[in-house]
This record gives sequence, structure tokens and C-alpha cells, in this order.
Amino acid sequence: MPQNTATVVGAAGSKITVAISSGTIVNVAWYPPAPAGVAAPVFNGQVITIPSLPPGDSTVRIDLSWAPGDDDAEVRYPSGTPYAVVDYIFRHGQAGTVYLLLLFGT
Amino acid sequence: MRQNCVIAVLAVAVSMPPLSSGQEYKLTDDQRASVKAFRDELSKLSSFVKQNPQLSRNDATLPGLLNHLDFTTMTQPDVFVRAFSRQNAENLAIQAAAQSAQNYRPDKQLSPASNATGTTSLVSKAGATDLLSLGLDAGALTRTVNGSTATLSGDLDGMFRALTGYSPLCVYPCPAFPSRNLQWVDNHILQPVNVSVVTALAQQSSTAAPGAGQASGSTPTPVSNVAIPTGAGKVTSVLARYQILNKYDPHSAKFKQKWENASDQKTFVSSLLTANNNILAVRDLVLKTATPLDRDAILEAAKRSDKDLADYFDNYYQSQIQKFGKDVSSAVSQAVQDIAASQQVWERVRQEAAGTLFTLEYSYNRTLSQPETHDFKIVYGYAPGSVSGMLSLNGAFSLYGGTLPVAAKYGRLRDGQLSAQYDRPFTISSNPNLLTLSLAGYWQYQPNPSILNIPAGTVAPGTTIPIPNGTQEFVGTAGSLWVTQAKITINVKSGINIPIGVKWSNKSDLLSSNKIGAQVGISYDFSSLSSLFGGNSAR
Repeated sequence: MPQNTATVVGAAGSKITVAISSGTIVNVAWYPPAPAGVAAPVFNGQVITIPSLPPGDSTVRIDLSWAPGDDDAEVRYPSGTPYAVVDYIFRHGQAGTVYLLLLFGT
Repeated sequence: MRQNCVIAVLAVAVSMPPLSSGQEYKLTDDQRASVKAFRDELSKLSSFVKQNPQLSRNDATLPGLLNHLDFTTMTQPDVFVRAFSRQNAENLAIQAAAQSAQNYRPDKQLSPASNATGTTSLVSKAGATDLLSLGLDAGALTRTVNGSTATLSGDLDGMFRALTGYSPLCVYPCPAFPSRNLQWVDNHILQPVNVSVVTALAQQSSTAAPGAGQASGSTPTPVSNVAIPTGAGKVTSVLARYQILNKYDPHSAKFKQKWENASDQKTFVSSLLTANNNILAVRDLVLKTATPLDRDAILEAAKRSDKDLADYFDNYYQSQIQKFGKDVSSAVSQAVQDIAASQQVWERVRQEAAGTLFTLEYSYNRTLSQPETHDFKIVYGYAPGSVSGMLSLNGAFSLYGGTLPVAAKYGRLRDGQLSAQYDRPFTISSNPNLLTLSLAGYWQYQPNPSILNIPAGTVAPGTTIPIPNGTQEFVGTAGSLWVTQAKITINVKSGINIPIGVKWSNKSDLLSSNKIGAQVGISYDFSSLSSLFGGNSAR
């Protein structure tokens, strides 16, 4: 995956935080599963933390459930302020979705 | 000549496509499966380009947004699963997969109420079919007369959606109708109402007619009127149900708390993860043959017009799916089935968070040789969080209809009822919900014994004694009628349910002795055939 199509680009080895504005995160994981020794992404509420961005291409799987009244979600990076909206997760009326966050470590 | 010109103009007008060049194209009106499924993504892209016509593919959020549309990245693959299943709606494997998840719902009432001459339901459940159902039941529960009945039930919203091409099986909120007035009617009348018609299959209809004289016998027996059978099978009950769900604000803190604490929340998350695993399996297969989206070209198309954007994306989409093998269809079938199952659990969570589900039920009953009644019932369904299963509670009263006879020794009230049933599904050989065990108890109190009608001009039942003016007789006893029932229901995957029950009662409506009986039925829920009515589970 070329660098210019990744959703989030950062320095390899750096800590990355991404926030989701809507929906409930129920699971985050490397996709496909990463080899042993690579720190797994974690989530707290609507903030996802990648402890150490791997070099090159990597993908985080984010499983989201939608509650009644939830709208499309913005993917914000970094999670604090100021942040930028780097993508959207569209609801399409479903009960939940799986979204893939494409990363590139330089 | 002039007539020919008019005909020619009319022919041209009729042959014109619905969307002429003079009409404005709207992404929201495009019915192509690819455009319909990815409408939000395409609309967002269109609005970005309109706001900033100088955008290039690496600006702002465009890489992320274009990743949704590019088959080599496909960052939200469930959208593709919906598009593919919609375009391949004729694929019976995909339809069957979506529908098989809908077949088991423990809260569906498919057989007639407990006062029918043929029924397997001692207690009514709060839910009903999403579309149409047909039930055949034999064996009485509270009645003395054993019979068999056919019950046709229909959900007004489900039938309307199926007939207009919308799926009756949709996740709340179901797709809205284009007209606001129609949507109001749907929300307030069609969605909550379910109707049923019960026909007693073995009950004869008859009419009284004057006799023309004695045809045989040496002893004169004067009979002025005789009962002539006019048909076998009679509509004995018409029933309407109205579901009441608590109004709620999905944005309120109270609702969100209930949503998070709902008993089925963990089950929902588990089913969602299973569905997502299969969605990702579809994506893995797609990526094997995918070629990248030309991001510059789709941006140029978006800058020209929405129609060019939709055309460009649809061409790209079609070029990608042409390369798929049968493995993609199989994977989509599995994913669609799991999505449907997950959405069903989601609906249960929503109902629990929204509050108590009550159903009000009214039925008009014409029982053989008894006065007509109007029955009013309130049904409450509750799914305890700690154990699998469902509890249904009923409270009801029955009123005699019509004008009470002069000097009647009874009042308008026929009886009052309280009943409860617990349904517990069982998994056998990894087949979930194959069997449901139900235990039910029923109490009915009658201030007076039951009433038997003896029509004017006919003979007393079982005799040749003529009754010229007709009469009513008390039969049975006043007081409490107790019934208990144990039932096993076999839930076949194709939408067929087979309930088999045994009951004990301390008496029946016309006799005062206790009674043990069996009931058997078979019902078919046509929700599993919604596609035949034009409904598409992806719409």
C-alpha cells in the first residue's frame, strides 16, 4: 500500500492516537494479526491508541456498534486538539460495522 | 394526418425514459446497486469537490474517503457486501442466508388464542409475524369442543413494504418512505398493527329454513324449521393487535445507560464480531482480483457532475465484480446471514433499552352454539437477562356481544383471565433454537356458567324435541377454570414451526369434569419468502 493512500501517516515507532466521533468501539486489533512482540492497539472509550507504529504498511481493524440515534462517525487524528478529520465511517442503517484504519510508518 | 401526428407524439412520449435530460440527476434517486450502497461515500465526495473544485487526490480527507471506494483498500467492506447482495438478489443462496436468521423468534404469536376450538397457545405472545403467517392447529385448551383451525395472520407494515418493493425485514429504523404523510401512516398505523383471521375447519355453517312436511314415519312429528348446513369451515374469530413500545429519546443519557446495560448487549457484540469476521473474509477474497481505482479519474468525474461520478464508479464496480468466482458469492451468503442474525439481536437490545413491549389485542369471536363475544387482552413480553428464554404474561376479559335477551340471567361480562408462559429454546447438535420448551398456566373466572344457544325453530341438540321460540341454557359451572400446558415446539429452519402440547384442565367451558388433552399444530411464517413479494433484505 503506497504511503499516499494510507489514512494515517506517522513516524515509525511513534505512539498514534485516533478518535472516533460516533458509535461504540467494541474491538480493535491488528488485521491481519501481527506477529508476537508487536504491541497491540488498545481503546478507551472512543480513543484508539497504537503504542508503536510499525514501519511501512499496517492495518488496524475497528469493530463498531451503532446505537439508535448514532450518526456517521468522523475518524480524527490525532485524537486531541487540534485534530484533523482523516476519514468517515458511514452508518448506512446497520447495527454495526467493521472499519479498517490504514496506517503507514515512515 | 393530424391524428397520425398525435399518435406519433404520444408514442414518443411514452417511450421516453423516466429521467429525461431536462431533469436534474440526483445521487439519492439512482437505483443502481453499486450507487445505492455507496451513496453516502459518493455524496460526501461530491460535496467536497463542489466546495473546493481544486482538490487533488491527496488533499484533506480524500485518501481516506477514496479508500472506501477502491476495491484494493475497501476500508468499510460491509458496504460492498450489501451492494453485492442487492445486485444478486436473485441469488437464492444469498436470500436464503439472510432469511434463515429470521426464522426463530420466541415472541411470535402464530396460532389462535386460547379460546379457539383448535389452538396450541394457552398464552398469547407480544410479537407477531413480520409479513404473513399461516397456522393450522388442532386440539382445544379451554373449550369442550375439540376442533381444528386455520389462522392467517398478517403484519400491515410488512405486507405494505413487501408489495412496494421494500424489505419487511429491516433494521430499525426501517428505510423511510418518500412521502411524509405515508411515513406517518406507516409509523402510527401500519407498523404497530397485526391482524388475524381464524377459521374453524370442521365447523359447519347453517341456516334455519321452514320444513316442507314430514317425509317418512307413521307418527306425526311437527317441525316448523330445520337447520340446513350451508358450508363446512367458518370464520370464528377476527383479531387485531396493536403493539405499544415506549417512546424514547436515543440521545438521552437514560436511554444510553439502558442500551449499554441491556442483557443481550454481550450477545449482540459477539454476533457482530462473527459477522465482521465473515465480512473481512469477503474482503480478503475481493482483494485477490481487485485492481486499483483510478483516483484522479473519479475526481475528474466528480468535478463534472454527480451523474458522471455515479457512472464512473458503477463502471469500476462492475469491472471488479465480473472477475469474482463462486467463492465470493458463498462468502457473501455467509456474511449476509451473520449480518441478519446480528441485526436481529440488535433489535432485541433496542427493544429492551426502549422499555416494555405491550401488545393490546381485540378479537371478535363467534363460537359454535354460543353467544358472540368481544375479547380484550393485554400482552406483556419480558426476556430475563440472566437466562435464555422469554416470559409472556396475559390479562384479558371477555364481553358478550349483541343485545342481551330480555330477562337474561347473566350480565355483559363473560369472564376474566390471567395467564403466564415461559419459553426456553434449546440447542441440539449445534442447531440453535431447534426446540423450544414452553410451560404455561391459565386462570379464568366466570361469574356465570357458559351459555348454549338453541336457535328458534330447531330441535334440541341430540333430540327430536322441537323448540319453537329458541332459548339459551346455562351449561357447565361458574367459577374458576384452571389450565396448565407443557409444549415442545420444533423450529424448522425453513420457517416452519411444529408445536406439540399436552394440557390438563379442571373443567372446560361446557363440562365440569377435568380434562386431559393434546394439541398439535404447524405454522409457516412467510417472512422467509419476503423476496418473492419483491422485498429485498438489503433495501
